[in-house]
Amino acid sequence: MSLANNFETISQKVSVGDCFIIVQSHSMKLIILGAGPQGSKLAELALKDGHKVTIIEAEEQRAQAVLQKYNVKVFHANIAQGGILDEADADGTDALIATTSDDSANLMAMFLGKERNIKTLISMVNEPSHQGLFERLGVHVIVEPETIVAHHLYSQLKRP
Amino acid sequence: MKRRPFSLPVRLILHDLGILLNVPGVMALCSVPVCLWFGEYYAIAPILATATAAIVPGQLLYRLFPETGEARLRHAMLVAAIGWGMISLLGAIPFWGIATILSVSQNTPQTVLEFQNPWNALFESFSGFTGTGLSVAINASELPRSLQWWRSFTEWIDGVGIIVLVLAVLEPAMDAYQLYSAEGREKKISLTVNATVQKILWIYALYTVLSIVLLVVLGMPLWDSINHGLTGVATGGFSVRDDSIGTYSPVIQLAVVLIMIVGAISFPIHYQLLTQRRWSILWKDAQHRTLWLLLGIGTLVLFVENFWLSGTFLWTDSLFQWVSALTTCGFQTVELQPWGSGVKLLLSVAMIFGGTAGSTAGGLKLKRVVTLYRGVLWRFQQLFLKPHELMRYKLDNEVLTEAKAYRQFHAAATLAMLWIVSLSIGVFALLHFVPSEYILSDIILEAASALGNVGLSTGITDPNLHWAGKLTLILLMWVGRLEIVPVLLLFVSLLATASRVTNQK
Repeated sequence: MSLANNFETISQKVSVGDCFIIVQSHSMKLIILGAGPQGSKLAELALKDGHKVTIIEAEEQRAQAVLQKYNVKVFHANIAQGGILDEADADGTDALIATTSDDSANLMAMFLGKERNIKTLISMVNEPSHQGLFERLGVHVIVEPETIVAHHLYSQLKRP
Repeated sequence: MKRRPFSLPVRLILHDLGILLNVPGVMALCSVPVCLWFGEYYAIAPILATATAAIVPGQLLYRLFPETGEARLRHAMLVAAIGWGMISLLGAIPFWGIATILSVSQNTPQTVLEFQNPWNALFESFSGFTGTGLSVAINASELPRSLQWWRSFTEWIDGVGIIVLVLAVLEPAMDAYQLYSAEGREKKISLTVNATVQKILWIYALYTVLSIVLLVVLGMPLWDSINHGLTGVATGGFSVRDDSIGTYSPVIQLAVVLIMIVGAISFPIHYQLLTQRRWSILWKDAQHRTLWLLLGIGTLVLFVENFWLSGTFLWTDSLFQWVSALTTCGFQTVELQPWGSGVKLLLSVAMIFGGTAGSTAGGLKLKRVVTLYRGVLWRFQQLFLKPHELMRYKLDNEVLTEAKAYRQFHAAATLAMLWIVSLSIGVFALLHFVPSEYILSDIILEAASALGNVGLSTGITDPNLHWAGKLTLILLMWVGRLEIVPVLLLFVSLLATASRVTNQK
């Protein structure tokens, strides 16, 4: 449910019902860029719901740590390296989620994902002024944790 | 300041050996009441001689080298290797002594007289103290009660010894074979027995008593029950009957199967079962899951193989012999020589695998079998990895780093290789000393049985076997009980010392 909640708060353009169906109906294949705190927590939530998770992480220590912790596929590579999404089998993937603290890496991942027609593209945006850049690509954007909390609170408010 | 002889590590080793020598001494003293109870007064002198021969030098070493200190893993291994050999040498005295005293009498059975040959006495003692159970006593039922007791007691003490060795010396060092890694070499080992190990030894004693009670309840005579209880939980395999467990009813045979399996379950797991009542651990632990799978599949395959070869249903016999081989106990219910070569080779594989690490069983131990299997899987998984994909090394519900995974696999593979080399040398040596009626599969079974401390025999172990054949089997039993590395270390250390002495001259 927690993942569904996240989807709900982060994606204003997709209706709540849609997302709920995606999460609940079948096991998805997800690619997560970045094995930082947000990336690995997301992996944990997704695994709990029975989804298949692949992580791409450029830093070896983080890559090893997430490999020890969760039953996930881990690629130790930089997104800027050519062909890494193909290695991670991006064509059969349902969602690509970029969680690094580097907006350029996130943006690159979104572009590459778009090129491969991945259905759901979600990215963390570290610098709010970049938000438009991402949204023009048709990416669901999460801007800063504070914004997420605010959205969440606001959505609670809307419910009777 | 007075200059002390020997370097500190050597003095520590001698101190520890002094303590270990108390073991056969105290064992001998505990055996005196058995001689008195059965009125075998002639046995008292040899048994007291054993006690003296053990305790006097033991106390001398202990007092001459009073330093205590934490030995390194290397030293602990040397103590184990020398200690096991030394105790077995002393354990031969009762066999030889009692046989020599009884040889004066006309109606002494041949089985007893054979022990006048020191090789036979040594063989029986090594077989006992390594928990093997190969016996040169053809008619074990004709042995004096004191000797029957001594045989069973040596195997039971071996069970204590191997539990302490693994839990107090080898396991704290993570794995015996970390000897190759930096931490292993520097790790300090204490030979003291901690509280957990003490509790585990109480469990061992408890299971022994329960086994004896079970056998008595099912109708086995009391004396037989005591002996088979001692050697069953210890997965030793000496019997006081000529036909081993084949003497008794199928119900008792099944009870013995249960006892053998209990002895082959890791004692730390028994401890967890008794204290936390988590039965699931028997399946969740990869080593024990392998034990159940091998027990089930093996029995079935052996049964089919026996049916294929002989056309008869040998349900109980297949089950019993397979369990006996895999748990490295060595009780028998049938003559093995007439069985087919395929069956003998299957039994040999079971004997090479052995029981779980942390139990009284011998062999490679299933923990290493699991690691080897995983290692082979990893090799194949790597072939399917994409260029940047990281390999996930999972062993026993734990994900290991690459370095650790390889160290574990390396240790297991090294031991497996040493095991195969030892077995091959043993088989090759035995080929020269064994009567011609025995074929290669018989010899492989006998060598695997000695190396895995099992005790199943095709009949090669015999009082009339050439002394070199007995020596080969003795060495296999000793090397196998200590898992080869400590004995190799002993030889290497001796060679190194010898070359240093020669260089100084």
